Amino acid sequence: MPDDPLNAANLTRETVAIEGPHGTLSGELAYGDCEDRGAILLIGPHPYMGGTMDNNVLSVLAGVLAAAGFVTLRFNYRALAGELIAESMLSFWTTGHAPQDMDLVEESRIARNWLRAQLDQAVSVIGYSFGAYAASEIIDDQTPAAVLIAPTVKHHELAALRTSVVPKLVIYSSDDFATAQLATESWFAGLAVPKRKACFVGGNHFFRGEETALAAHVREFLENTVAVQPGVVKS
Amino acid sequence: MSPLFVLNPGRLLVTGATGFIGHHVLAELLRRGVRCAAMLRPNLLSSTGRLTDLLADLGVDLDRHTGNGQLLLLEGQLNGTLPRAIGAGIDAVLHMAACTDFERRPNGDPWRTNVDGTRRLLTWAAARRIKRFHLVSSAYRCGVSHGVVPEAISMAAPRFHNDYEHSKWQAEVDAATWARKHRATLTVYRPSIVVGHSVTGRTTSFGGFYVMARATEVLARSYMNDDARRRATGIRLVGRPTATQNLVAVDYVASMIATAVQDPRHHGRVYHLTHPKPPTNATIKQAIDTHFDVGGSDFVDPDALDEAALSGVERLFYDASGPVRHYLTANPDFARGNTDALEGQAGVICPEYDVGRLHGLVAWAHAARWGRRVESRRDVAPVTEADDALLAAYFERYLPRYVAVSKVARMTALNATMRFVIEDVAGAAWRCRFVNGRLADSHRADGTTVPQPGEDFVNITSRTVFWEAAAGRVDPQKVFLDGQARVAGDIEAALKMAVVLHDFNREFPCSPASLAKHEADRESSDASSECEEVAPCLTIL
Repeated sequence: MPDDPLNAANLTRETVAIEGPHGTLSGELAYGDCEDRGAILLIGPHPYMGGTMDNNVLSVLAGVLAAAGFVTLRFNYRALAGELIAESMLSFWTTGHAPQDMDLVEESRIARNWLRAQLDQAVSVIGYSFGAYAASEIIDDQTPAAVLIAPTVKHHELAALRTSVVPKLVIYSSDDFATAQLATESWFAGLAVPKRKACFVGGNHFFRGEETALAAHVREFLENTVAVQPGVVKS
Repeated sequence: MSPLFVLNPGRLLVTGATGFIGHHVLAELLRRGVRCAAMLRPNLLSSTGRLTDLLADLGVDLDRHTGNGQLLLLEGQLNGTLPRAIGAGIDAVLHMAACTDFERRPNGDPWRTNVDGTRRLLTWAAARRIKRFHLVSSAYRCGVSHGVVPEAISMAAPRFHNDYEHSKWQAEVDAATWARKHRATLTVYRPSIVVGHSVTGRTTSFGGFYVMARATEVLARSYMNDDARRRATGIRLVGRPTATQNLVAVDYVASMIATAVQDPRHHGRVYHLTHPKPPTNATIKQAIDTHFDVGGSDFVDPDALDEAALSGVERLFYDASGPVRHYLTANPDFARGNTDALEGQAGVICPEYDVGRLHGLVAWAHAARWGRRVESRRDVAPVTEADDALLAAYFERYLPRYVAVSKVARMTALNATMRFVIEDVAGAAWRCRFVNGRLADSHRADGTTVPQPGEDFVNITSRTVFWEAAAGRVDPQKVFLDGQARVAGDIEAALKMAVVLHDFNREFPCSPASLAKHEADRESSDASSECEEVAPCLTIL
C-alpha cells in the first residue's frame, strides 16, 4: 500500500456515528481545506470477506478524493459485527450470500442518507467488491455518479444498473477470483449509458500496490462527471 | 458549500484528551455516559492509538465507546486546522489542551498553545454558536500572590514567576471576555500541582512535583557506591520545612471536572481544584529521601543562601530542580468555596498526602523511568526443534480435538482441503481436510507453496503470525489482506475459511506457552495411564 494519503497534512478526518437498525455505524469523514466539490460514500467489501472501512482500496480512495476537494465517508457495516453466525456463514460458504446481505445494503443506504442530510448535497457512491452490489442497490435519481470496483458479478446481478442513467465507471481486473474478466465485460455491455470501464491487466481482486492508479482513474472520472467546480454554484 | 446541519444534539468537544489530566477526564466522562468528541492531533491514526492505550490503562475501551457512537474522534489542532465537526452536534467545549513548559520556547510556546490556541478555539466556538465553554486553567495563573486567591476571574495582571503562569492568566481573561461578548457560560477549573493516581500512583506527567524527585535521583546515582556520602549530602534546600506544596491527585481533578461538566447547575463558576490540607516540604522531602536512601539535606531560608557559594553537589541538585524551585517558597492560599460545595454535592474527597502516599507517587514514577520511552523491539527467538514440535502438536492433536467440539463442527457444508506452510520453520507444513464441518484428517505434508491435487488452497505465513492468529489476537483474513500471509489457489475459499478459523481461534485460543503446558499435562496424564481429557489452558497467553 502506498503512503497513506489520508495522512496528508491538509486533510481533516472525523469519526462519525450513524444510527442504524442493527446498532450504531461507525464511520469516518475525510475532507480537505480546499473548496468542496461534492460528497462521496465509499462502500466496502462483505464483512465475511474482510470488508471494513480500513480496507486498502477504500482508504486510498478516501484520501485522494478528499485531497481533490470531495467530502468522503467510509463506514463499517454493523449487521454482521461480532460473533460468527454459523448459519449465516454456512449460507455464505455455499452460495456466496449471507441472509444479512440486504441488511448491509440497508446500512449503506442509511449512511448515504446521513451524508446527504449533513451536507445538503447529492452523494455519489463508490462500491468495492460486495460494496459495488450495495452501491447498485441504493442508486437513485439523485445520485450524481457511481463507481463500481471489482463488482461481484458472479454472485450478484447488479440489475439496477442495466436501466440507470446515472454515469457509471466500472473498474475491474483481468485476474479476479471473484468474477472472471469476460463475465464482467459481458455484464458491462448490458449496462445503460453513460458508462465507462477500465481494466487492470494482470491485476487481481485486491489492487494491492495499484491503489494510487485506481484512485487516479476514479478521481478523473468524478472530476469530469460530477464535481462542483470551484467558484461555480451548483444548482 | 451548503450550510451544514447538525442532527445530533448535545455533544462535548474535548481538547487535550491525550494529556495527563485530559485522558483521566475523558475516561471519567465516558464512564458517566457523556457524549463526547475528542479533538486529536494529526495524524488521527497514531493519536487514536495513543488515546486507546491511555484509556486502556484506566480500564476504558475506546473501541467500545467509538463503536456505540458515544465518542467521536475529530482530527484537528489548536494551531492548525480545526475540525468542521460535520454532524457531531457539538454544543459545549471542554478545553484542556495546554503547553506546560514554564519558559518561552523557540516556537512561541507556551503562549502559542495556551493563548493563541485558546483564542482560535473560542472563535471556532463562536462561529458554531456554542454557549458553554469549560476551560482548564491553573491555580498558579495567580502569579506572585499575597493573601487568599479568590475563585474569580482577575482581569488585572499580577507579577508572574514564568511564561506559563502568564499564558494561563491571559487565556482566562480571553475566555471571560469571549463569554461576555457572546452571552455564553464560562466555567474555569484551576488545578494546582497535579500528581499521579491517588491509589496506584500512575502518572503520565513527570514535571512539577516529580522534578524534585528526579533531582534527588540524580544525586543518589552520583553517590551510588558511597553510602556514607549519599546519606550525608549536606545540601541546603531553599524553602521552609513547614511551607506546603499544593499537590492534588489526577483522579480527584478528573472526578471534579466531570461532575461539574455534567451538571449545568455547576457551570459559570471558577473552581480551585487545590488541596485543602497540602503536604509540607518536610513531609515531601522525607518521602523522596526515603525512596532514594538519601539524607543530610536541610532547608534554609531563601535570604540565607548565597548562591555564589553553592557546593558542587548543591549545584548539581539545583541544576536538576531549577524549574520548580520557586514553588518551594511560593505557597499561595487558595479560596475553595465553590470547590467545597462541588465536593459536597459530588461526594468527592480530596485524598490526603502522608509520607506513604507520597512515597507511592515517587516509586511509581521512578519505576516508569520518569516517562522515558524504553526502546523495545519484539524479540524473535531463533527457530528450534521445539517450534516444529509445537506446530505438530497444534495441527496433529490440538486442532482435531477442539474442532470437533467447536462451532465449526456445526458448519456441515464445510468441505475444503488446505495446506498450511510455516515458511520460517524448515519442513513445517500440514494438510487439513474438512469434511462436512469435521476435521477428517490433519497430517504433515510437503512444503511446496502451490496447491497439490485435491487441495483448495495453500496458506503461507510465518511462525510469529501463525501463533498470533492461533491465539485469536489477529484475524487471519486481515493478515492476508495486509500481506502478512499469502494464499495460493482458491482465494475465495481461503478468505471464507479465514473467517471460520478466526472464529475457532477465538473460541479455542492457543499460544505456544499454553500448548506446551497442554502437552506436558497430556504426557503426564499418559504416563499415569489416566485417560481424562485435559482442558486447554486458555488463559495462559
